[in-house]
Amino acid sequence: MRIGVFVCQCGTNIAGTVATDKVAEAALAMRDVLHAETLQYTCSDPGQRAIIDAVQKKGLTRVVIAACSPRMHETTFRRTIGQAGMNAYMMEMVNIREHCSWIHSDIDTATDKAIDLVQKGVARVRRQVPLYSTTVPVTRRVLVIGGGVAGIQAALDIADSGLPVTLVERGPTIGGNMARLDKTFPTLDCSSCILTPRMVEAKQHENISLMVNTEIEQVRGYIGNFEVDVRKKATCVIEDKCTGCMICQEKCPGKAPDEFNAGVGQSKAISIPFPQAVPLVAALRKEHCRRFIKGKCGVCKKVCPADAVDYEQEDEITTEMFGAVVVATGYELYDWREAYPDYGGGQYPDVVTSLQYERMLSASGPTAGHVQRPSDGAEPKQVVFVSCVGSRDESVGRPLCCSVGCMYIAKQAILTKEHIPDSQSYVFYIDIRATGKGYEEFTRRAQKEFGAIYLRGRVGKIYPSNGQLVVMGTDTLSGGPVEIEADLVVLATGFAAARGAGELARKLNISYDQYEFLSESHPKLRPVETTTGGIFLAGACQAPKDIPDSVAQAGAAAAKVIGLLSRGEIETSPMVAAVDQLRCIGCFKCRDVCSYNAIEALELRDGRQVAKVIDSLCQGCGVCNVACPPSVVSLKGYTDNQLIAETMELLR
Amino acid sequence: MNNRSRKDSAAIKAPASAKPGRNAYSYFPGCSLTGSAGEYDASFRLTSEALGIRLDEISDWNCCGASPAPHHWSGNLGVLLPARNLHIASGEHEAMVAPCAGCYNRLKNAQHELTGSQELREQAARVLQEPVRYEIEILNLVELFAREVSPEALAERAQGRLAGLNLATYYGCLLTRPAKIMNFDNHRNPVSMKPLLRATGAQSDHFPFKSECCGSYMGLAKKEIVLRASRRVIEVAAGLGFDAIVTACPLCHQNLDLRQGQINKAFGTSLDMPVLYYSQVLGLALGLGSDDLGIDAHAISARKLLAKIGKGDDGPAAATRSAPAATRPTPEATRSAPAEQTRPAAGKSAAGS
Amino acid sequence: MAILVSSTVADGAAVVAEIERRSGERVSACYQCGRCTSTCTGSFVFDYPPHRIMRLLQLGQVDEVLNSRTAQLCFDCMTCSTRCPMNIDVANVIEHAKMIADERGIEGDEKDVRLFRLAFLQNVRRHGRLHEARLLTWINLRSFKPFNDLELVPLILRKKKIHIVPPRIRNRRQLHRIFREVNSGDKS
Repeated sequence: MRIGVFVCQCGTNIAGTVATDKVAEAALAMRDVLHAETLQYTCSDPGQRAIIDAVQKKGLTRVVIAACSPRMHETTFRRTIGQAGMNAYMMEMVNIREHCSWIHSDIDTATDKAIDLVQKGVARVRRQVPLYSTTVPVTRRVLVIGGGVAGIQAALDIADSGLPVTLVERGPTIGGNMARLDKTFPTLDCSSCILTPRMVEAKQHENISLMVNTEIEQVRGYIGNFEVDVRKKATCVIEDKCTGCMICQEKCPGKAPDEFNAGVGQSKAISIPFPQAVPLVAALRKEHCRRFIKGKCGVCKKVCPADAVDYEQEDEITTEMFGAVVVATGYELYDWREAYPDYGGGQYPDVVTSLQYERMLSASGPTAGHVQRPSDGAEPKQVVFVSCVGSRDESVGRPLCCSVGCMYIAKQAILTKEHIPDSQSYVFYIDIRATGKGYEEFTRRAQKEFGAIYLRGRVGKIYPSNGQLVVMGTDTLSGGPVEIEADLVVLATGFAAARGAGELARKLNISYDQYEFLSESHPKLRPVETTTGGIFLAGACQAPKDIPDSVAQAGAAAAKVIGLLSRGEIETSPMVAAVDQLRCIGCFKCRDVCSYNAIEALELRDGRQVAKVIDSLCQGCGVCNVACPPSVVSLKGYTDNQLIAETMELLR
Repeated sequence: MNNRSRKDSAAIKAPASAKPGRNAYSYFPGCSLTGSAGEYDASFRLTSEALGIRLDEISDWNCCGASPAPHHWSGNLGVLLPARNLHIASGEHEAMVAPCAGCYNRLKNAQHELTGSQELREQAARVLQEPVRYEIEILNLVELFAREVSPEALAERAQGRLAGLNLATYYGCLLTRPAKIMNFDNHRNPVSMKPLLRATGAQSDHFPFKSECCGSYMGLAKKEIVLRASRRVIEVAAGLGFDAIVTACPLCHQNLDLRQGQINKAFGTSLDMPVLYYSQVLGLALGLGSDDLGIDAHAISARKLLAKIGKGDDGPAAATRSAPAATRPTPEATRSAPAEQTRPAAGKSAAGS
Repeated sequence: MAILVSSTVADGAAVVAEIERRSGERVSACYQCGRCTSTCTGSFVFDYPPHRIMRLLQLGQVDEVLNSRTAQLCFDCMTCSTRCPMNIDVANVIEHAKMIADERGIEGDEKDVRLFRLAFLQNVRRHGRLHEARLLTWINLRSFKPFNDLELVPLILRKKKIHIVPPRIRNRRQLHRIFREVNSGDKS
């Protein structure tokens, strides 16, 4: 055994508190250590060359590097010794920076400790064996969950690279919330005009298979090889036959809530949500349909010229394999009614949400773009916008900022003036958050060019009086309470995760926060990855954000997916569990405790059932090791012998 | 208003040796109910009697300290004055009721402070010359009735007597705030009066000013506060078409009712909104006479409202005409079978007895 | 005139810390949204509405707070506390500022409020329960407003809402002990 020890000085980061030359001296005195030196910056080119030189000249078979945290440079140094001709895993990295020099001030104590740590590292590396990572073939197909702008963008980007994509959407059409917007900030582009070309492209792309009215039923498998059950819900309409003529909707006698229009106006039991829906196919909602509730009716089937209605249609579950999954389930508006009784709790018809107002502003909306008071249909002249409803409010359990409220209020204030030139808009705000490109200028326009009056303060109460709504708020800028007699009040409600986000996350085995926004793997450096390999995030499902950010994230997720699947196979970490199958008694306690479903049963030639680790799924957590009664499961790179040797060394 | 009900209460007071039953409570009337809000006391006793609730007035109670000593204005007066009452009541029953929201608030606050401070407990002990007992359960009027009669039972007895009325529930400030100490109803959206009010057959739409302040005790110190605050409460109620405002606080009542004339004079308004006590409304629903309930003691006449529910001429005669005779509570019925009358199904049996 | 914030914050720190300690609230939690002020019942007679009181405390301007009309007039309806999105009990903060002003003997101009409080205390001390007739008369005379609320008198008498005979509690010794305990502690 020929061990080499390299002690990094890291400039003064380590050398300032640890006498590195003494550490090297002490290392040289340890058994089996033939070479020990100090390096100023081990991770640098000269540093690495020094290691390679020593390995090759002295024929070293194992290496110990005493430096910073393995999280920083373990990968770097593995590559280094690999380049030197050794197996990359015959190395131990000892942390004498974060664990020693950075937390102590006395040089003598710190040096002693550093020597102990190196001793421990040497003991461990003595028992190291060469490890070899394997590759696993991947399925070169991708699943995108959610057909909003983020999901569409991700699907297009991935499909353009040649990978087949299945785009699954739970509603009857793709387009998500962006399709419900009238105009977008800061350019005031018509939202549908910029989105529908993408939607059509997604439908027509040769590599995209679009599945609407579909939900994820179950997910099994692992990165590179996910097995997914999808459920295509029965809509009583044969998709291939339906031409989108909408006669069924016209003739249907059954009223139903209009979800696309956020509850403004009503829809029918069988309907197409909006004229540019993709696919342009009707869908029947059984819970509102007279035939299914009372047993009487059949009008839609009768009038359909394409004979596309089939009441016997059933849910269909299919199973597909995918190499990677992109989650883009988006958001919905926070339901403010229970938490804000002071604003009427939903009882005042002229207090509407921003999305309801957006539908009113939209020319293809339920009021054909005429802004009218829901109570009496009159055109409002005094319109009040209230910021931060359900945001920045700890008292209702929502301290977060919705990040788009300030922008879309400015937009709606501008549009209000365009629709109703003699109107006056008032905006109650606390702070203006306008950080994107052109955003600050946009909010200024609302005040300078479109006459919106901005009042700084929250609204305490809204109550009806003489057909109007009295809004009691504050203007901290002028110092006291203010009141407005308003015709219409628009609440800027915050973002909530899409309904069922948490449940989907559990199916995918990814984490989520208290709002059910899905968790990214690292808040700064890994915004589109999750804690589960192979599953990526895009868009507002991760956190409230605007359209440019959603699109950017979708592109990032697509890039990760393409990178992952580009070689047709992926490398797996060799530091996984391994079962000594000859001694395994087949109790499968290891399988019971494995959170990653990485242990399966294997039948040996003599008929005995033993445990087998699925290398590509195993994350190397070591719980199986602990659970195994005869201790036959060990973790490569962290074997029991290695850990005991370390401990014995420290106890000496 | 006749003072008869106060004497009646003496008749149903339990003798000192009697063991308190499930439906017996220590009763803390407070200075208002024994003073200018006498009709609140009368209606409370009458309605409780009708529901089989036994009230034992706390012996030798003193002022709770709500007005002279809000929080810590006067040293620990705000704790020691109510502490004496808690101590006396703790020796008499397991639960007490304070219909005045101010008293209820002060008593609960004092209980909270005594729980948290040994120093205060020692001070109280010096006053009482024995360790202070203060853990008695403190209820307000709304809580008490909610506990003692279910909406179903009340609906059966009320037989829709108050149908046609739209009543604005008004909680004021002190029943629910501060939320952590009062721990009663939802301080942002109180709804505790609604179930029983609806059971009477009346409508009770959402009243946006239900927990805005009436001006509190500032009537004598800075009247314009009361006039302005109460004006808004009444105007909003009137604007939304309510027939009356229902309150459970004598100070709110005084500000809204007694001073309504002053409001009209000060602002040139012509408000005419009757203000009734919660106990009076429930009493009416049970068929009790409006005069017995002290409704005629209010400054703003409730004649129009009473006419709406067919009680144009009040008094016991009206009660018998509009409701089966048996539902009119007699002292004998309450004394002999208090427990029966409050069980929901037993509503029928009481009617039959 | 500019506020020398570097000075006010330092000078006011002790009083602010005392208010925070007694009330259990942090003035720095307030982000000045103004919701407390929007429905404050008494704001129209206050010099500083609740959000401005919080701001003054944040900047250490404690003298303005202790001498304010707000501190004298606030009657603790707690509407501000109910509405605060940061769960700050604003009324409690003002209460404690009030107490400190009291302790320092800051009286202010709101004589009627002080009179009311004194009248009530005296009344309860004498009878153990409030004697309303006496209270009203006393206040009216002492404030030199003998005709205040006079129009209510016929109504009150007619509806038998007032009792001329004062109430009395029996255990006057305990009552006296209560007031003795309180007076031995501080100066009310």
